[in-house]
Amino acid sequence: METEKIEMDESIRKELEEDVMEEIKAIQEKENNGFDESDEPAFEKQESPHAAPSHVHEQMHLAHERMEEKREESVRRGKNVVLPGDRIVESMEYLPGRNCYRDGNSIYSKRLGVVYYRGHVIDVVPLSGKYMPEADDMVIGKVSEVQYSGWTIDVNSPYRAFLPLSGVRGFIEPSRTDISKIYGVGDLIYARISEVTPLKDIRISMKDPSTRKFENGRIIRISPVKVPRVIGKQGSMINLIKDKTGCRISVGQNGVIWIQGEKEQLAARAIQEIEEKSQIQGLTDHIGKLLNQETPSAGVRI
Amino acid sequence: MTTYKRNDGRKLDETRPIKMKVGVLKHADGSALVSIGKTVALAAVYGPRELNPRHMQESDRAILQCNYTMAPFSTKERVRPGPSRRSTEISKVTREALEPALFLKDFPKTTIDLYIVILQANAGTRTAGINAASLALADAGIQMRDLVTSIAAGKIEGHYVIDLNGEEEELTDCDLPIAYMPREKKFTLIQMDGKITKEDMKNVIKLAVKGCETLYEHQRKALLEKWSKEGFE
Amino acid sequence: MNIQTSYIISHLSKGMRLDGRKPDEHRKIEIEIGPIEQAEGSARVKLGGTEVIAGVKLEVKEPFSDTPNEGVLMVNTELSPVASPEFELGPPRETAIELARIVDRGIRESHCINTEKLCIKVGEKVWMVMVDIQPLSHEGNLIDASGIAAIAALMTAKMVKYDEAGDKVIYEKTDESVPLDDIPVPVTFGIIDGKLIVDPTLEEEESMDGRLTITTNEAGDVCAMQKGGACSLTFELIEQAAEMSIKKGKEIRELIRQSL
Repeated sequence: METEKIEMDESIRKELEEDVMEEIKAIQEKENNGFDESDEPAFEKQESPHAAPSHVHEQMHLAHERMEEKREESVRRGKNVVLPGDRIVESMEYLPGRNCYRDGNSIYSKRLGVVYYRGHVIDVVPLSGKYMPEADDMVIGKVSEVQYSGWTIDVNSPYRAFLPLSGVRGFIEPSRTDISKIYGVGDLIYARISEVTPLKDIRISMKDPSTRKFENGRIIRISPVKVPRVIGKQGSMINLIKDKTGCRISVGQNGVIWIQGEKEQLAARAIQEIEEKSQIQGLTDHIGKLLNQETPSAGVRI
Repeated sequence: MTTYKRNDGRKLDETRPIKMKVGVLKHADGSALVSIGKTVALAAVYGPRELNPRHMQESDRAILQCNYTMAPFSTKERVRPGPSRRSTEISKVTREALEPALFLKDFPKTTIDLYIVILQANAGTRTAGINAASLALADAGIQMRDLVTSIAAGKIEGHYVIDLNGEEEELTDCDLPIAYMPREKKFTLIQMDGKITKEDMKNVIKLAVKGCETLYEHQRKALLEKWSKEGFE
Repeated sequence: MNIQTSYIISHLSKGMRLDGRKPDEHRKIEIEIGPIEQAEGSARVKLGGTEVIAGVKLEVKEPFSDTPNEGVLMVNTELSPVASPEFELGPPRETAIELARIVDRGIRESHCINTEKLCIKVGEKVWMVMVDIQPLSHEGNLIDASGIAAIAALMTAKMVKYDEAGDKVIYEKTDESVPLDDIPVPVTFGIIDGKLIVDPTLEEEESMDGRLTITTNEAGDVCAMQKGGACSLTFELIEQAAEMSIKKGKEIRELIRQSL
């Protein structure tokens, strides 16, 4: 089974590489034949509105994007689910990115996931696992401890985050303020991860205008790897749910979701459905139909 | 030499029927149920998660904590709950069979907790446990070099036999369980009870490796059965 | 009060629960008989997302001196970490011990096991019936799941042989069943905001003030009760719970019978 898959990967890779090389060659030929900077401004020749300093660079980038598209297509066909130890490519031309490692000439997956190519960098996007904090992520956390200089926050990850007094809007004089009145144990907050050190000390901030403390509503939890599905392309999925239910919803990158509104149960049901059926074709339509029902058809776990 | 007839009719290099299922426990981060013949092993993984007490934390890596337990009703005579010398040793060798496959440095200060429960025992519980544990770790999305597979082999009446059952454990000259990373072709568990020649020992190990390759196919199938549909966009 | 608790209470005031159930409704109960071949009897019970396996083992022991002609029952539960990230290894603590004792009390006090039939030689040898419960998934109300699994496992348990001369048990099942005369069934109520909810989920357990378990038998008698949690109850609430536990117990008893 493994051999077959690797061969498939290999053949796709070769095919794609050939495509890319051809395109690059074509572009380079075009470049060599009569490109004159003084004659015409560079941007007129380019298809992309985001003009890059060099044609070749930009076109190569586009070619790589096309390659990625093809990759994604093969992913869509379900061919690229890899397991720990699966060989992704045998080549020194690629670099191991996220969740993969090099051993000899080959790159192998570290995790159960789907292979993605970023140019010459290979990533394995995990299908399961814990939330690992990254700077600038918006997360929903629960205050687990009030300390002298700030708050310890459970952000549904292996690492607790620290919210320092300096991470809160306004100036606080700790000796004169009962800071548990600001955030007490058990309070839920929508916060930004401001810093992640290599040793995984996590700092969060409540300075951003979008951050807030939740006073009502309900919380549901999903697998953090499913968060992009719940949000959808450019927020399409979450906006659909918001429109159809009239609920206010905040989605934390850490898989914690806050919902508030009359149709909370319906919104929660829709999100649970996305988590369960994230892989099905026409997910948006499916969720649209579900949301058109007046009442949820089954129970929802908080 | 006459052919040895196994009491359950298997060929010498044939394992007992294998069933593997991934994602069987709702609240674990990863889980698997593996049955090999009448032996049934359940594994649950939690983590990486915060490690308390803090003094146990390793600042540059995660630790793996492993516990092997037999359910009280898993054997003919009831197993007294709580750790025994046997279960403590098996917990340790299991942990050390799995650690080489993990990238523990990816999660400094945390713990990965692994619990193996033998629901029914009929020989080969530690190897079934390791197979289940490896699946549970992969299911949980833990960073691994490879899956770990495990099986025992032995020698009965001059014949090398794989995957000893309860009755065969009484007859064999040796009981040699291994754990093995198929991609790197490296061993992560070696134990042996018995007395055999060096040549026999090599042959028994080779036979066990063959068994691991079979188990590896089952492991892949079990993981892909749960996860391959997730590959669609 | 955290937002989850207030959410649960506000829904309950409208007679609704988070998972869409009515206050007097159990989650779906599934019973599988005999998942552990090697045990004398076994059952796997799913109560919604809560799941347990109960296994019965028999041993021969000396009887207690005050009951020289009676066999002995023992129920044991460990809160195995496989069932919940909150459960830890180690010797059973008060929650696990209470759980086992509630299940034990229901079976013992209903006198459903005919212990006199478990006597091999008065004052010397009796059968000891051990019921071990292995939780697989904790999503609330382990008590009812364990109680149902325990009685279902006992109902299907077969006696094994005893070699009197060699003083040892031969673990070969006979056709003879473990002598059982009744089917006690525990029903647990969550108490939240002065109201009863049958079969609380984990979320409800986290938010509720306390619980009340009432075990009833075939005849509709009450054979064991236990209040848990630091809350206080009115007489009316207890009365109401008793009524409901008899009704619910009957339904569950029927379910157990059907699954055999």
